[in-house]
Amino acid sequence: MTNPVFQMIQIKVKFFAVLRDATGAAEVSLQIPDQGSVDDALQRLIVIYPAIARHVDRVATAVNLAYVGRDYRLASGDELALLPPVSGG
Amino acid sequence: MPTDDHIAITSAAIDTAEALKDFSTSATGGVAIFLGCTRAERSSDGRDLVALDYQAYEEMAVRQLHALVAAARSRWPIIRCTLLHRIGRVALGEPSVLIAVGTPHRAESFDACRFLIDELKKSAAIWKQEIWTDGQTSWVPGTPVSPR
Repeated sequence: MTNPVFQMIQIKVKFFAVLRDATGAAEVSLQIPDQGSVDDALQRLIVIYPAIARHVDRVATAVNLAYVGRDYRLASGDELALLPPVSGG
Repeated sequence: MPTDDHIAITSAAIDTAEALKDFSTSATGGVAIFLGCTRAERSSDGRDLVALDYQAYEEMAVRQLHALVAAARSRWPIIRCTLLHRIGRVALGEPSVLIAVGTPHRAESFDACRFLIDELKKSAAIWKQEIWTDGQTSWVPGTPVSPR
């Protein structure tokens, strides 16, 4: 058996509040393997932006404007948002 | 069903009188109004708060606020509802959030208004940063959101 060759897809990632400060970016593009999960994307982001590592446990994730779990499978063009604990009002 | 609800995330100052204009109808017996304002604070090391600076994931927050109003409408006989939240810098004493709910009877308007501010604070994709007299800033720790 040969290892399957994963096609890469591109997603958009948005950072807010403490994560925007930690990354210095509001929005970035990220390449992940096709069918990669939100957790896969987070692991990749931690490598690129080590400063977010200490916040990730408390971060909620949303895809295309709706909250999703870490096992959610991403598709090309998805907008993944990393949402620190909220403090509106 | 179309409604006159006004739901927005705005960088403009909230004009309370304007937001409440034409709010009462002949069927409305009670209008409950909540204003959340920037309160003066002193940090443990003696610095004073100058302002709050709000950031939002606007597209998501607006959608969430609409969903909250829809949830409130399914529980209470709401005639009209306005829900405004500021982004950007909000000086001491200025409102960052305005919620007004008009219903036939007062108990429903109080309950629905309370529900809306409580749920907004728990889940809306909005963050506030404190700005202190020495120029330092700090994000308010906030409430972790657990995906369903």
